[in-house]
Amino acid sequence: MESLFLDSIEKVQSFLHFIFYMDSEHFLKYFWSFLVFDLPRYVLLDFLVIFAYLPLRRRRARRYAIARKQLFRERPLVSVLVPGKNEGKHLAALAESLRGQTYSKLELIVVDDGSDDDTEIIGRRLKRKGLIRHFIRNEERGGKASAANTALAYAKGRFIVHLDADLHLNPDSIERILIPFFLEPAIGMVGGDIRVRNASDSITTRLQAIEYMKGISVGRTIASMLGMLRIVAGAFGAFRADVLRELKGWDVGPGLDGDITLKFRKLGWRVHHEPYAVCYTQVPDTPIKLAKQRLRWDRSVVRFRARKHVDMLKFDRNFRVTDFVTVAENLYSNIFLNLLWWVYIVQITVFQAPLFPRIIMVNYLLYLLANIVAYAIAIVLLKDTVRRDDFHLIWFLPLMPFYVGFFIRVVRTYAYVTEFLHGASYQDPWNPWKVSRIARREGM
Amino acid sequence: MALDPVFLVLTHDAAKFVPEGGARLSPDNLDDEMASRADFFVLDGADADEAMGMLRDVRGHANTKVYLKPVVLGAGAAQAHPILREAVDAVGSADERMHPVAPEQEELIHHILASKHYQQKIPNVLGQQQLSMRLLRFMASRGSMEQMPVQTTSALGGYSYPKLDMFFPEEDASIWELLEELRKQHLIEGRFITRAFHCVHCECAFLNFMETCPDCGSPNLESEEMIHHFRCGYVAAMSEYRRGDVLVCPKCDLGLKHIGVDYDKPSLIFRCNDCQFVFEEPEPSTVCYNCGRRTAPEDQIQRTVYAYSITALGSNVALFGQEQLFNRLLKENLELIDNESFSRIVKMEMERIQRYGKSTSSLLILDIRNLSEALSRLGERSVEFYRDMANAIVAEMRSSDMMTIVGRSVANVLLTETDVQGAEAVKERIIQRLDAIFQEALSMPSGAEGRIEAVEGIQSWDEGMVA
Repeated sequence: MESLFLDSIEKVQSFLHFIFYMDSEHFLKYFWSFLVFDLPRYVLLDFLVIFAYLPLRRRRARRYAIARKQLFRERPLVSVLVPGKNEGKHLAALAESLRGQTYSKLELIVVDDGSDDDTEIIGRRLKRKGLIRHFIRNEERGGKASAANTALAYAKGRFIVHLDADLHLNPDSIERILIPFFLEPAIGMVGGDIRVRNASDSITTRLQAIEYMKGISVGRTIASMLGMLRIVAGAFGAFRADVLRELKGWDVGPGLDGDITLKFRKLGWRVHHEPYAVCYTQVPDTPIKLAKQRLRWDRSVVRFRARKHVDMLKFDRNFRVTDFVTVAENLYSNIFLNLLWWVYIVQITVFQAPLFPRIIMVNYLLYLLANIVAYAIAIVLLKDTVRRDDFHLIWFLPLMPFYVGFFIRVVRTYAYVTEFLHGASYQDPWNPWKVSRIARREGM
Repeated sequence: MALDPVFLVLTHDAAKFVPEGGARLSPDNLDDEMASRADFFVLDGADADEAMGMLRDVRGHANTKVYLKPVVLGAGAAQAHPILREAVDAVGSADERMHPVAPEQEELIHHILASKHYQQKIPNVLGQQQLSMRLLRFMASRGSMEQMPVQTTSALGGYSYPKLDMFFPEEDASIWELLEELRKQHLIEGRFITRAFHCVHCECAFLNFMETCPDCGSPNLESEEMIHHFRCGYVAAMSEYRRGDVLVCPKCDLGLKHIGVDYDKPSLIFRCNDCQFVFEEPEPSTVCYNCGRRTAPEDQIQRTVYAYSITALGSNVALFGQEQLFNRLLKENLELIDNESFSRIVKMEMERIQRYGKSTSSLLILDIRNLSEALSRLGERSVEFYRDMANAIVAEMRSSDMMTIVGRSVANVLLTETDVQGAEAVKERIIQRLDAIFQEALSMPSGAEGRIEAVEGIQSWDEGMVA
């Protein structure tokens, strides 16, 4: 018993010695993955929120107020498109939530994309009650893009808001997502801030809640400020209707939201993220469901960034530095860094095998620290839109290094490999086969 | 003494040929005693409108022996009128010189004449209140014959019950309500034939169903198929894809080849040519050909069209009337006395007490307000229900007490040698018993209310005195 205790003491002493007596050369050698890539990319950049974004926002408060006034003076019609399959159970709550919005000149257009539940009955009832302006029923499923484009054919609004049916909005969410259009005329689309509604369901959902705060709330706010935002989530995004019509709507997914964002950028429109236009979404509550969702998302990065929009990296007459950086950074941070992470894993397991446990432990502490900083910055940014439950997430930060550093990276790697080798996204049942078959043949 | 004619030819034509055994009668003379005695009427068939008018005169007559009489449509052009052929009891010989009734129709006529409904001698009062009774008697006298609806453009309601329609003035749509009311009371029963829309404003069945714009109500719409191009996910109206004779996707500029292979047509899109509104589903609307008013189909009256026949209860009511039915049942148990006798006894009692001042009697005026509803809800079971009620009242009466019925639901009870206080107790007990019977059978209160008068205090007594 005594020897076990002494052994533990010795191990701790040895670990502390390993940390504090390591020279900078070895430190870099053992932790280059964190120091060179993840630290600047995911921690240092976040400080821009404190030192650049929030001060800028304060300086522009008056302009923001004027833009808001202009929105309510002009009162443009806004078409809210909700395409989906088997979403009937969410429609009444969604319609009520829209009725309670501070900006009220809305028309709700729901497309029932071949639902096989009660969606049709519910939708028609809500239409009779005047809660839905258009309810379009497609007997046969055509996929998300075609459903959204069907809704677009009926839309009369100057702005289009694309919504997932299961979302919850704050009463001022629509108002806040519209104001940026009046703040800067060059803005073509605005993304809402997606938060996790069911965080308390499981550990998986809690970890995603932290991830959303870091990645969407903070990450996209910074990317937007730097002019490098590459995605406006389909769950809650607003568009200038004229531009969306010029593009003839969405292309076949999965990942159609990222695709349409790049198409807006190609036309020269600015893409903006609004952290205070809040919506709450339901996220997968088990690791398996989450993996399936992430496989779809990650494959779309390959399909759209590395294949379809790779022309944004070309130095032709349409070349723009911000577009180049946006796509390049996306490919770099998602694909290249992911590859490097495997290189790093091989390095520490093969070449630093005797030190492997200590290196892993230090890495854990570094990533934990990074997560704590990122979480704190998210809390500062989101201010009064933070809910009490969000503060309780702090206890789950110690799990984040495993979640991001292992789970997410493994899923991502699998997604990339299967997409590069087999075009797995074309097999995804997310699209009906009739659409996937042609998209694959045509390389769409 | 000359024999009565077997049949009377109703005609305005004084020179009308009448076959042997018959006589001419102007429809203006239906009050004539001869009209009651003849076996059947023959309508002059020369003119359909006139024949129809005469048939209405017959069915609208006050005398049972006239309005229930078999009517035969005589020879002439009117025999070609489809509704008239259905409205009469039989279509006669096509040759006016021959006897108007074919041998196979004789049985029908005799059957009607032999029916107890035809034979009864209940005085009639013309008017809408009595119309239901007249219809019941007519249907009862025609035995098990179903009154079939006939689809026609000549009736506003789109359907006619030719025989029954003759009891109503022309263009009167109240037959629908009246038949439905009788059906609800289980006096007649309906066999489902079809369902039909009627204008909520004027009851006209001739409605123009239109697809209209949900925004401006205009029927000036055009519709197009939506096309979904699988390759690029583009969805738009077919006109957007049309380039000459071929379909080309406006988004990706590729020609569409085969439906189901590279594109499909998931839905329709509508456009209003008046207000340019684009929508997915036109709003159905109806315009009435008669009153011209526009109404949503769901707001129009949707009726079930039945073939009607009389029930056993209806037959009973047709013989005795609803009030009489109640009276008859009560008589069995209560030895109920008629109003006139009751009044005489009350007056005698008043005088007796006033003169001697030694005793007191009370009058209970009992109004069972929910009795009519009970009848309509219980239908044929009403007979047993009434019997229960009668037993309940009998149980509280002594042999020296007397009772009469006034109107549909009021009973007057003379409680001899009973003071007001005692009468109040009897009243409460009767009401309790009635409530219990109503609750058990119908889960509703009887609505019975009673008023007590000390007989000696009654200033004057009228026959029809009710609560």
